[in-house]
Amino acid sequence: MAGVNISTNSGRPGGRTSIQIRGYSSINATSNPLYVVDGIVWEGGGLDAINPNDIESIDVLKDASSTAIYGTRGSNGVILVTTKKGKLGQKPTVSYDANVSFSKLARKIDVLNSEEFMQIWDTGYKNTEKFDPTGWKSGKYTMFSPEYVREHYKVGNTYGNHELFDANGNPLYDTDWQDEATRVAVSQNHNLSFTGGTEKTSYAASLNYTDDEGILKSTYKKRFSGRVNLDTEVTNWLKLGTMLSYSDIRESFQDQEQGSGNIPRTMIETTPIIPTKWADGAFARPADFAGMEDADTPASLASELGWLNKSAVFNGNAYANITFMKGLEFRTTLGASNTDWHEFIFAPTTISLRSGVGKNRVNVNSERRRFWQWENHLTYNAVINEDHAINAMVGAEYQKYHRSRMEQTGQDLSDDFFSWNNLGQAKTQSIGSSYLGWRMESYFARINYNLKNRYLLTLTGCVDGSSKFGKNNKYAFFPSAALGWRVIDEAFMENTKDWMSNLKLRLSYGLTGNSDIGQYRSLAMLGSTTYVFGGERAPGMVIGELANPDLKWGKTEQWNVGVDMGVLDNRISMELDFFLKKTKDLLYEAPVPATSGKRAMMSNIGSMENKGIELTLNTVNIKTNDFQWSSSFNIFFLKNEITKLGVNNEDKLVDPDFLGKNVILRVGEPVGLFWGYKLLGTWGTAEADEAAKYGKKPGDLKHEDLNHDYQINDADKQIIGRGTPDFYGTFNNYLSYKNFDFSLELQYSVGADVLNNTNHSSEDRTSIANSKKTVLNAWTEKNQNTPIAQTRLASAGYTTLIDSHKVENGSFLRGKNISVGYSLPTTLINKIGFSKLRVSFSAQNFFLISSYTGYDPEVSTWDGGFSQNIQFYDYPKARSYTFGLSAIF
Amino acid sequence: MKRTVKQIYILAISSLLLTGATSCNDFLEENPKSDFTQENYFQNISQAKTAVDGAYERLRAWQSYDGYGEGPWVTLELLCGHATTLGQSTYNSGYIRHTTGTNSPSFKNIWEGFYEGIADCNMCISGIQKVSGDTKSLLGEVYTLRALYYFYLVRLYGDIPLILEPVTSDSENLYPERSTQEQVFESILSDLKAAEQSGLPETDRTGRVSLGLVKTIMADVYQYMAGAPLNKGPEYYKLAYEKAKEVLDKSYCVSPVSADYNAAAASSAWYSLFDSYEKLHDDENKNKGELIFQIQYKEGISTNQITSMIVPTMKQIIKIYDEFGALMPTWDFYYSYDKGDKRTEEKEMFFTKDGHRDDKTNIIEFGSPALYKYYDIEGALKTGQCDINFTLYRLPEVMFIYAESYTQANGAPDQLCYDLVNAIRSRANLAPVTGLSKDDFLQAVWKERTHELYFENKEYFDIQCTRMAYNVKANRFETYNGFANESGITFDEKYLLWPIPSTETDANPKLLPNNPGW
Repeated sequence: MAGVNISTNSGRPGGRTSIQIRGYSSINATSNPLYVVDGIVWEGGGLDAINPNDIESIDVLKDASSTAIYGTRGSNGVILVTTKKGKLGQKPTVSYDANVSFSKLARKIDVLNSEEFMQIWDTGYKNTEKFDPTGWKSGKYTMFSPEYVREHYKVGNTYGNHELFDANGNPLYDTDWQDEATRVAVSQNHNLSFTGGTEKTSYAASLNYTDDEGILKSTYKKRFSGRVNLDTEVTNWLKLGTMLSYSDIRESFQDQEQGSGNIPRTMIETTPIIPTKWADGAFARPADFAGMEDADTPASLASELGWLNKSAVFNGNAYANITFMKGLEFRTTLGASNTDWHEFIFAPTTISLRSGVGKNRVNVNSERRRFWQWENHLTYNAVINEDHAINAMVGAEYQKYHRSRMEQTGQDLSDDFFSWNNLGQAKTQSIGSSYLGWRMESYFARINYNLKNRYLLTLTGCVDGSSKFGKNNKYAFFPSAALGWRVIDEAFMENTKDWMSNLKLRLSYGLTGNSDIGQYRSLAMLGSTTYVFGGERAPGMVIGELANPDLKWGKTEQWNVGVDMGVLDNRISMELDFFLKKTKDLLYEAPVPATSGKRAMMSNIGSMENKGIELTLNTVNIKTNDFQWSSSFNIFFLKNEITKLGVNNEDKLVDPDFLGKNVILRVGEPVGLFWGYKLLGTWGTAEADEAAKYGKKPGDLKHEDLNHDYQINDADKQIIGRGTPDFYGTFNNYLSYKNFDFSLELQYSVGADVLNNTNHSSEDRTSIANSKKTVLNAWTEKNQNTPIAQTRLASAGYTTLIDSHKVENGSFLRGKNISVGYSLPTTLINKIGFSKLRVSFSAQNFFLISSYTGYDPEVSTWDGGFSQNIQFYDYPKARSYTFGLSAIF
Repeated sequence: MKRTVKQIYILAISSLLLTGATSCNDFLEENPKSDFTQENYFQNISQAKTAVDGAYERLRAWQSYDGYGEGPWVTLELLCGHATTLGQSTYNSGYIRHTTGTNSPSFKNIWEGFYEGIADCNMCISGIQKVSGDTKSLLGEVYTLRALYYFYLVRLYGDIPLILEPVTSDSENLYPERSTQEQVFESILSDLKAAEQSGLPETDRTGRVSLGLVKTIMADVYQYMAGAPLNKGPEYYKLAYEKAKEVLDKSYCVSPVSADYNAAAASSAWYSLFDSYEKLHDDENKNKGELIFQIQYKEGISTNQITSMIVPTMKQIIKIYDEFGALMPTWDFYYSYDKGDKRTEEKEMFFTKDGHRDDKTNIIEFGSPALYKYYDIEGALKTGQCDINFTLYRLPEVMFIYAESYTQANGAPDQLCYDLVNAIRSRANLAPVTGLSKDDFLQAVWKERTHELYFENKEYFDIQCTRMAYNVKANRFETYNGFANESGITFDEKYLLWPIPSTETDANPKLLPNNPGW
């Protein structure tokens, strides 16, 4: 769908999906769209808890007019989900869908094997004299020499060390940790639905079980859910309905706390020279070999670390629809959502993650999230003498959300056995709790005027109020207007009717608001802290955030011009849109002088512009009785620019913060620019004198010194890349031949860069952990034209900065889905009581063309506004093969 | 019949929508439950105490860590040039080699951390006005903390904004200008004098402000003001040693290894010297003996990485997970101690080898001296967590202040000056000094002070106010910019001050120009 950028940023089951509609419209607040399911706002982010089999349709509302009645929460776009309902008078239908998937690691990263690892070690040792002559002379490195380590770790050594080398000094083991960490994951999904209806009542119910196994060992996401939709006509003027759903979700993680010693990191960094386990059954650790950075291994983590999330999500709504007279209807809907979420984390004494080897640590956290919505609207429909149709609506909506959170931490439990089931056994315990809540109310009115079904005019006005803003600014008014013109129905289009089947022009303007910031920002809150007196805990109160009582709604103005065209009986149809979104009074943490006690204050400062072109082209290429082939192509161009920022349009550096802030916001530029140094290469032997001025030697990395002051520091940082693409889209093809169907979905993105921060640990340094094979191309006197510094032991000192070498081209073409299906002939299956029976085979992520050297260029390991395409040890994506069965009785 | 029923419904529904509208005023009011707002706090003494307790926490900015093996207390030592550091840290070598920039993390962390502490104090001072009851000594604690935060800030950054009231989004003080050092010192002294009169307890063994601390800080402030850059001269040296004497008179300064040591006198004094250097960093003696004021930590509540900083990189000698090797004294510094100085004996104040954490009989040589005074014994051997307190003031410093200030004010040391310096020397098994000229005595005091209080964040401030630095190779104190230290660096006037961090000058351009050379 054009204009909608759905990124699946992780290979984790559940995917960590991020969706942006028409680009970023906010700096501080989220750019996530609003999800509305069956008319009720879906709280709790993302559609994870919805069973895809229950979805009848998804509509994406992009322009301001269509999103207007969702008020300001729709300013980032609205995703409307309609769930399946029964039809009146429909005979009961039972359908069963099932599939089984096999997934494995799609792409591997080339890391050193044992022989190469020791080769780099030995070279590094020799070169260390050059890079740390004082240390070398003092004898600091003697215990790392090739002879010393082989002697001390060889078979039969008398030093009490583990045996890692044979008598000839060759490594005994060559462990492939990416293989050790991953598996062929088998997932399955079963869905049973019933739909039907009597004369007055229709119903739809479903049960679903999903077991999504992750390719990283011990990760999974299991979900059991059930849903019931019931609609009934009580009398000819009263219709009632309800939707109830319940989901029970259980997830097991190994990739939390990105960049810590978790599996995505250790699967790259663990040295190949150690085995998974020693003969006595203990897990091997890198620290078992001289001077290596201690960490767990994927083997010990997969076996020992427990990290579970369990949620029970209940959603329900009930509505009453009253028809006063023909054309005048009133609907009231009450919706509620309750989520009980629990997190259990246990790190036993056998691993060092979270607490250190020999110590254990447990966390049990829980949240109760409750959301209420009450929506009322009155609609009036009238048709005046055939040509004029009016639809008017006026309504009010109230929303309330609160979240209570509890945290419990225990350390030093007397035995690992207790895990998270007996917190009382922990020697040190700490507890905490917190509460937050917000409320919204909206009043809206809309008029649709339809003249001759050819001219459509929509006017909408909305007053929104949010508890999050200051006393004087809680409410704001947001109007919008839209014009549609079905040109095809005009008299002057008569002579085109033989080839043109549809031509419609659309024009809309709207003002929407953005309030997606944290709570209590307009109040002068105090904060809590903990100090210690006499060895005892002493809670303290300190200043909280700087209050901004003038905090108000952020506003976005959106213009949209679009044309829908169809030719040859809609064999070829096209939707083309141009849009311009201007956001002002951007909600944003403006930096304030730290002399105030705080560093930032939520303010309305800044403006941003998004403009773009969306094109969707649908073609029915071939259509005969037996064979059909249709294609759908879409492309989306987005240009984003910050037009005003802060008090003086000063640059703002924002998170992620990895070796310094990685992203810069600058007026006149798009968001998501990477900020770092430019790598010029490595210092050559002829440049020794120049290098010495920087304290460097030939073989060290050479960075651009913008101000020629012989120092490489923040004054030399510059824009080194961009995380947002120039254009992107999809290309899909659907074919059917008799009872066979075939589909192919491709996804492409051009122009975005990826900041590969993984190289900081896996390429800039060696010996202390394993590295990528690229370090074999390190600088030597014979190989001086290389971006990889001369190998040396890590403790001798190495340069690592966020620089242009870590910025890679993130353009890609992906085979997202290819599938083939066969529906058994109806004549055959009717005999056994089925009305449809289809089997299918498909593959997901079946190819990826990209020059990016990491796992997948569609990635983000940090959460938060501008972290798209910045990664540090991500959960790799899988390639999957799925067998499916679909049956309707 | 139907019509009237419908009319009733229309009425009912319209009123539903309307009633919704009229109840709107309270519906959108925010009701935070996890924290107070400034408006509804400071209702009673208990709340005032909790706020005062909170004002201590920002002292921990000294242990705020960025990156790998970096922290402001480490930075302050690296700048003096008597240490080496690990290869992995991106900023540490810049601090040693004086090639760092205005956005190095330590400069930012202290500026932001201490101004936050000052804001906490200002909130307490203004809030406590509302509270009835005996709040005088609570105010005394807060005045002292504010004075201490400013004392660090003014020495590190020079002319700084002086904020003495809470700042709101519409205050003029949101974008303040720089005040002069003179004005800031005036405010510091005024706060300390108020604290001195506020009825604080004489000493405190839990980590709180005490009268002993207030007098100690005042002595330190007077001595600093006597030297550069304010150069107030002999009048302030006199104030310094008189104030120091107020503490010393109540303390027991006899060396514990001397023949006349009287344990009873020691235990009833305000402060007395420890008989073993290990007591400076073990769990049982936190806040006791000669310790006047420490930043508090406790396993299970709040820990730090101090021990990880001072052990060599990844030799696996401690059960604490991280071993950075970030602050390793140079051999030249180690050898500057006299032969036979107890402090350089293995595991007194230094150590050069240790056993592997899993097998203490497997001895591992470091190849470098290491700071045993920051070794958390329980943490390294048992618990794997470092909760050693960080000492800001201890008795020997007061003794040195007296010895130096008296000599500077009066042109020659008196007997008490010699007694104090010799008590410290005696504890270190060194022979006493006698019969020195003014300059030689000052050299002896400075050397003893540097050798005793080494790596306790004192030396940088000493260089600033004496404009002399320790040339370890020549074993003399010389003009700070007249020689290259053992790391090859000659001090420069630029490095006598920290720059105002670039994030701050970006947010408030009124603070420009930055300190000279930055």
